[in-house]
This record gives sequence, structure tokens and C-alpha cells, in this order.
Amino acid sequence: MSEDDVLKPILTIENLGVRVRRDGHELLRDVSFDIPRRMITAIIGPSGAGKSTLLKCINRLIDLSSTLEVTGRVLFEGVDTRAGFIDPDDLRRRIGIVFQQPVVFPGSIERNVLFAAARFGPVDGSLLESTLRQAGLWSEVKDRLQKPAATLSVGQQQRLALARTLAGSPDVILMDEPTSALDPKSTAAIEETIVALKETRSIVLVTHHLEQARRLSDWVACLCQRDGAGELMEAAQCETVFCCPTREETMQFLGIA
Amino acid sequence: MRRLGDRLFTLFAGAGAAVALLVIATVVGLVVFRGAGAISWRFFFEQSRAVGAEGGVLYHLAGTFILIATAGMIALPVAAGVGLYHQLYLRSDRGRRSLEALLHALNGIPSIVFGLFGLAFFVQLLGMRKSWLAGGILLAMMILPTVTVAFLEKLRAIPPASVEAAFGLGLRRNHIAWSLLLPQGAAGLVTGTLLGLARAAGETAPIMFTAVIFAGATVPRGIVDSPVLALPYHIFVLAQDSFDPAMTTNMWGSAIVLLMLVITLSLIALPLRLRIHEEARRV
Repeated sequence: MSEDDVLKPILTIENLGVRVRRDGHELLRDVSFDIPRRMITAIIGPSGAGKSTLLKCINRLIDLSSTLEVTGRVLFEGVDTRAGFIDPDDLRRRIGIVFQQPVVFPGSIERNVLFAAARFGPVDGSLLESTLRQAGLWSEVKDRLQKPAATLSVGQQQRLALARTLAGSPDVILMDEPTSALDPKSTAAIEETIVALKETRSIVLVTHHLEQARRLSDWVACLCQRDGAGELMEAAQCETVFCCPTREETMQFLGIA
Repeated sequence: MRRLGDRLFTLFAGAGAAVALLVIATVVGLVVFRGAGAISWRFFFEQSRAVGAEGGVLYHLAGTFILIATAGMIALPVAAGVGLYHQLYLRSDRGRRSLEALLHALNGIPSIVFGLFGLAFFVQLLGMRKSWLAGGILLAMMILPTVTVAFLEKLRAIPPASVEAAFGLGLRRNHIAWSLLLPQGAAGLVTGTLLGLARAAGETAPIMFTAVIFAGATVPRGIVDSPVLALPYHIFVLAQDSFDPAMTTNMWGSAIVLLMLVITLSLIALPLRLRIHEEARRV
């Protein structure tokens, strides 16, 4: 990858809007910003501002909901993710997602980690260990890989979900409040993992915790609700948003006003 | 006052359970009482003779097995397809509700109407004449809603977050079907099939015009014009012409065999459902 490519954003969101088909109610309106490569971009904002909806637009997981209509564009490596030749399943493989509540599939820890990777093709013998190491879980589970994944604690389950996503080798990882259901110790473990992951991947982190966003992120996008729809207030470097927000809504949300 | 209400409710619930048990006990008791005289090993392994007055029900039992096995082999994969289509491909609630309404409508079609349809379509239009395959297909059509609804019930129990997470990993629909939905829904599919087959085993109307004759058939040697014997139709014909006491005893004996078959299928269904469910959780 050339130096120019590294400087190009990995994702570009252009005039993105989401509305309910039946009544035209807007959930997101005219959102545009860039997501830089190999950095952590935090999306912050009050509840109902459309942060999770935005995340699902990026990897087209929103397509599963037939009641919502998406307008605008999301460019991944400069290519419109809604172009006719783009396969949404391939797109989701390259843009992985980790949800707020950890999802554990029935079966062993090993089966969970390789759940998708095993379907994508031959699995490298070291994949299980390497992804569990990246997710910071290897030392805790290496002796019980065949045990049911449901026996893990919630914090471990969340790191298991992260390992499962990593096993698909995504370029981008979307994280929808990944620590909101976790205790402080598990939160610290996940945060450590997120910071380590940005060496090789681009991370988009939706979070309610302002301190977490400030601690981890390089860039911040702030969404707030206006006339019932989520709109982008700011998108800039982390310190710029937290120190010198330009919009009144951002100031109110950050508690500066 | 509250205590009296509680007692009345207990009495009401207990009476309901007692009536249900009484109905089952009466039916089973009467059938066993009237037909026990016919039951012996020879009754299971001899073919019927003297217009049903002598011999056993070997080929009637075999024919019934052939019909329900055919129905099961057709209904199970079709129900799996319908259930997976409902859960993975139908995105709108309206589409899902329409499919469910269609299944309920299919379930409500009287069996004699299925029989007439089979006569017109398979026997006359397709020229199959009386054939075990025509009967099996008709029985499969009849039990399809039972199997599908049982499968859907298990699929609905899978948390939507699990399916969303599977899509989020980039898995295709066929992968999600194989690795998540089918293992989790298999218990419903198998149970529904067994319960459906228990119902199909006792049906007379759909097969009387399409698949069975009263006497003269053994095991089918082809597909077209290849009828079989079957227990329900045997009982139906003997009941109409039971002037001979031996024929009456054999009729009730056949009823015992049919009842045993139906009860066995139903009894297998429940523990099998629990076992498959537990295995799916462990995989």
C-alpha cells in the first residue's frame, strides 16, 4: 500500500439518510464524513441519534430490515457499497461487526471462533490461537477450547465474539457499544484489545462513554437528534471535538455549554 | 373467597384433565376389548384371506408403512425449505404472514377434498392410476403444515440477534441455514414429521381414490398403476360389510394395530425432540 493510499480514508459516508418506508420518519439525515484508515473513529451522541443505525448502514446489515430505506452513499475503498456488483455478504466479511450484547452460537469455544471462517474455506491451523490471542482471550481458554462457549463470562463472550469477527480477516471492525454490558475489568481488557487492533485494522466504535471515546479514539463523529432525525454535528480529530466543538448541540452533549 | 375461587379453578382444571383421560381410555379400551381376540403373531405376519375374515394384516401394515414413509420423505425436505424461506428470505412481515395464512389454509382443507384432488390430478390427469406414490404425495401435502409449523416454532426460538450476528460475519444464507437454523430447528422438523405421520397413518379419504385397494396387492413393483393395501381403508371396508363375526373381530384387531402405530409415532416424537434439542445445544 502506497503512502497516498494510507492517507486516503477507508470509508467515506456521503449524504447518508435512513427513513421508515411506511411513514417516512427519518432516523438519519444527510450524514457525511470520512473514516480514516488504521485509526479508531468513535461515534458518539445521545440515545436515539442513530449511531447504531449508521453502523449497520456501513456494512449493509440494515438491508435485513425491509421497513427501512437508505439514501446517500457509503464508499469503501472508494467504491460505492451499494453498487450492483457488490456482494453484501462479501462486504460484511470485510467490514466485521461486534454487537453490544455478545452473541454466542451453540457449541464449543473453538466452533464459535471458527464459525464463519470454516465456511469461507480451508482454515489455517494457527487461526484459532492467533485470533484468540488478538482478542486477548487465549490464556483464559486455551485449556478448554472444546467446552461450551456459553460457560464463559459475559466479558469473555464479548472477546470471543471479537475473535470470531477477527477470524474472518476484516479490514474494518464496527463495534456497537462493545463494553456497555461489561464490568470494569472486562472493559479494560476489550479496550486494550481495541488499541492493539488499530495497528492492522480500522475501527469504528460507537460508545456512550465519553471518557472511553476520548481515551481510545483518534477521530470522533458526534451525532445528535434534530427534528426527530439523527444529524452529524462534528467530525474531526478527537481533541478538536472534545476541546473546541463548534455546534451548540455538541457542547450540550459534552456538557460544555 | 379467594380460597374458594382457587379450589373451583383446581376442580375445573382437574375435571378437564379427567375428561381427556376418560376419552382416551374409553377409545383405547373399547378397541382393545373388541379386537384383542384377533391379535397374535400370525395376525401381523399373515396376509388377509377370505375377504378379511381370515388371516392377518401383513400387507396392510406394509402398505401403510410405504405410504407414510413416502409422505415423510417428501414432507420433511419441503417443510425444511418452506421454514428456511420464511425465516431467511421473506423480509417483510406481510410476506411472512401470508405464508403462514397459506399453511393454515392448507391445514384446513378436508381430507376428502385432497382425495378428490388426487383422483383428478394424479390418477386421471397424470395417468398414474392407483399408485402408492400418488397416495404418499397426497399425504405429504396434508401433513406439510403440521411439519412446517413445528419447524417454524423452533426457528422462532432462535434469538434474532444470533441470525443478525451470523449475517454480520458475512455468512451467506445457505451457510446460516446449515450451521445455525437447521441444527437448532431439527427437533421441530423431526417432531412435526412424526406427529404428521401419525395423522397420515390413520387417513382414509385421501388414499381411497388414489393409492389403495381392498385386496389383491402385496408390495408395489412399479410407480404407475401400483396400488397398496392400507390399514385404515381395510378397516373402512370391513366396517361397511361386517356381517361375519370373524370379519368384525379382524376389523377391531386391525384397529388395534393402527392405534399402536399412531401411538408409537406420537410417543417417539417427544423424547426424540428433547434429545435432538440437547444435541443441537452441545454441537
